[in-house]
Amino acid sequence: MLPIADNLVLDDVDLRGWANLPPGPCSVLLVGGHFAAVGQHLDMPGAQRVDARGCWLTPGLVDLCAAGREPGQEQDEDLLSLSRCAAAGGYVAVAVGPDTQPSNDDHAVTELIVRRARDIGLCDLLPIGALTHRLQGETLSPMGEMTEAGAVAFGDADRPVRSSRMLRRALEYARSFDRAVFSQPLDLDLAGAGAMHEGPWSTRLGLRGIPAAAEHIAVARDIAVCQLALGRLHLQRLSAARSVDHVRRAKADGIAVTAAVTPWHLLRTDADLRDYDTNLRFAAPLRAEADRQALLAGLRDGTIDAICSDHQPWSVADKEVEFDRAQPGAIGLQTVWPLLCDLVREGDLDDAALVRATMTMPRVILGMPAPMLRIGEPATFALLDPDRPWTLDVHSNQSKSRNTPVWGRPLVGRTLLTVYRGRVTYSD
Amino acid sequence: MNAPSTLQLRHLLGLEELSAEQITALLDMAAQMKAVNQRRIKKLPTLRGVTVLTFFVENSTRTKMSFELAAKRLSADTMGFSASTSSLSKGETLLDTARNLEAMAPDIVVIRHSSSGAPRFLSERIGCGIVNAGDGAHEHPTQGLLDLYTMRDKLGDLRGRKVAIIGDIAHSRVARSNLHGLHKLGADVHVAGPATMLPPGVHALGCTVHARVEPAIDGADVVMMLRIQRERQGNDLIPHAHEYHRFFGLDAARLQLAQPHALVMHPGPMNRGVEIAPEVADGAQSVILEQVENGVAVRMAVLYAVAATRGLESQGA
Repeated sequence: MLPIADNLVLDDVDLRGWANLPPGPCSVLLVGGHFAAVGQHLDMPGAQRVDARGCWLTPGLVDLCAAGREPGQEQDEDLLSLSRCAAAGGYVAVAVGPDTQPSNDDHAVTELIVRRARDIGLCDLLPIGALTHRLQGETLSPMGEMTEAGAVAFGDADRPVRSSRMLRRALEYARSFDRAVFSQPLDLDLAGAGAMHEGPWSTRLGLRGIPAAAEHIAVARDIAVCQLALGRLHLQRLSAARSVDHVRRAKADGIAVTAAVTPWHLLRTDADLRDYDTNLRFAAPLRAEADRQALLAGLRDGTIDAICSDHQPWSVADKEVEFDRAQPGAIGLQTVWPLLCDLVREGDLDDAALVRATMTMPRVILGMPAPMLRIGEPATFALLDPDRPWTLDVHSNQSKSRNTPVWGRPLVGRTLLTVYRGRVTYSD
Repeated sequence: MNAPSTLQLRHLLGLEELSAEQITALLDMAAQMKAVNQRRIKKLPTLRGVTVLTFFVENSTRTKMSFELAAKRLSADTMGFSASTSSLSKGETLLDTARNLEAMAPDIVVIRHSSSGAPRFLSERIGCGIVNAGDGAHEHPTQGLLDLYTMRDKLGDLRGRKVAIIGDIAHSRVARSNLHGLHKLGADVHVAGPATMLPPGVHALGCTVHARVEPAIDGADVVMMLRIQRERQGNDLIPHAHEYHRFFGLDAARLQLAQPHALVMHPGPMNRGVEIAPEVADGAQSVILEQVENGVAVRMAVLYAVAATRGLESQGA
């Protein structure tokens, strides 16, 4: 760990993602965890100087979709280990899903998460309350009480709301508390017991397919219901090309819809399942190359607002099994930055889109204030190096689980320093 | 008996992974095994001291018996393990079961499993040779090999021969293994069935796809009928067996469309009167029982090849 002096000058650091400062290189002085000065030739006798050329000084990443597993499944993850993953990944705020045991469908669970976040103090943990009782899609959850307790949005995690009437009521009711509804769009009948994208690869591998239509039909429905309910809809993880088309058109029509995608869907396709790697099984399955390209195009033109980690910790017993019996999902908070750096290096994504999708828009969707670099205030930031190589292994992994397709593989792009409310929460 | 050098086979997971040369070498070896099976003393000492474990997580009587017979005819020790009697029904994971099996040090594990990819999963985690006896809707390589053997035995070189595979292609591991094998041996493969049973992108496996059976059977050298799995839960693919038989079953009239010498094949067990009419199943062109006979020889060849690759065959045999 880099020792952090009380007085620190970051020389030639690249400012990125601050609402009140343009991007570009400058020097930043920190004193006692507070921003003290921003300028070109800062001098501070006795200060530790760090040559941060090429590194990004950002307000920190914000995640829209992570499973905290606390309460109930602390063997796979808890809010402390989740917070450590977040800090090591350059995150300063993480929205945690309601799919705990018991599910977060009651203010008591929301309060527990908020209290734990305050005690841990490594990042904001923002509870997403359940949309419906027990995530069953049948009865509205008490959104008012949960909002009072700190819920920032409502959704049923991985579970689509089957009934259009129920989704309408939920979107309407959430509007009373100025909250967005987080939906995972999927037509459950059409998806059936599918384990991967339906196409030539599912045929070859003999695995049941989930057709792309199972997603984009649901996207179209969710958008139509959102328009009817005058609600605010966030589509958590898109995977299909046609879904992007539907969102693009809805935005042009002025409907309040946002959408996110995971790094895996920007980098991998169904062909990567040829080895039956269960770490590449996702609830929204990896699809064909044309889908991947459409997701990238949607991200570039702003149709897709955000990139989420979709951090889903699972034990060996849930992942080291037959592909069609494996739980979907991978841990992700620590690898979003290097994976996105890969996309930038390959020319699939530019810096501005990366900032927008990981820093700006997640804050907008969660109703957080735009990030400002203010002199004299306790600093919250992440210092990110796009070029530093590392490996996610037993030494660097902060999660209690290790289900990721990039376990032990070389990664390029690393968090150097994360500071949250004036305290160092991670340093490389 | 010597394994040709082309036949390095640490596992048999599918025909997709094999080259045409490897398939041909296995078929050639099966021909030698078949000769053994026709002797009065149907036994070779070749795999003396080798333990073959049949691990069937999905029910099957004939494939299991065929493998056990093949192993015994090579003098291997065999041991059976099936889902209903095993700890898998008590909630143990496949990985734990596999590790327990491995602790008993079998040399070859023959596995049948309802999940596609399960044999591969085992092959990456335990040290013994894995032979796939059918995994989900993925592959059933020894069935594919015995079908190829039977066709080659009757027709000779399969290059350019028209083979029609008819039925539920989407859920059939037999179809996939045959598709890979036939494609590699140069056959002209046609698949047909109701469109509900034709999976997306199946043409990419090297075949021509038809939604009606007549163009597939027309001029065919081989007509292979697949089993309709009436016991499959939630089967919403066809209205009922009677309609299936009328439009997609093989009866004497449809068989007329094929070459006069055309072979009628079926991997069994048959639904008489559904996918195949009884008079066709029992007719002169049917080689269905020969398929079963050849299955033992092919499985002997596979077990031998895997054992030989691993240096397990007994000296001087």
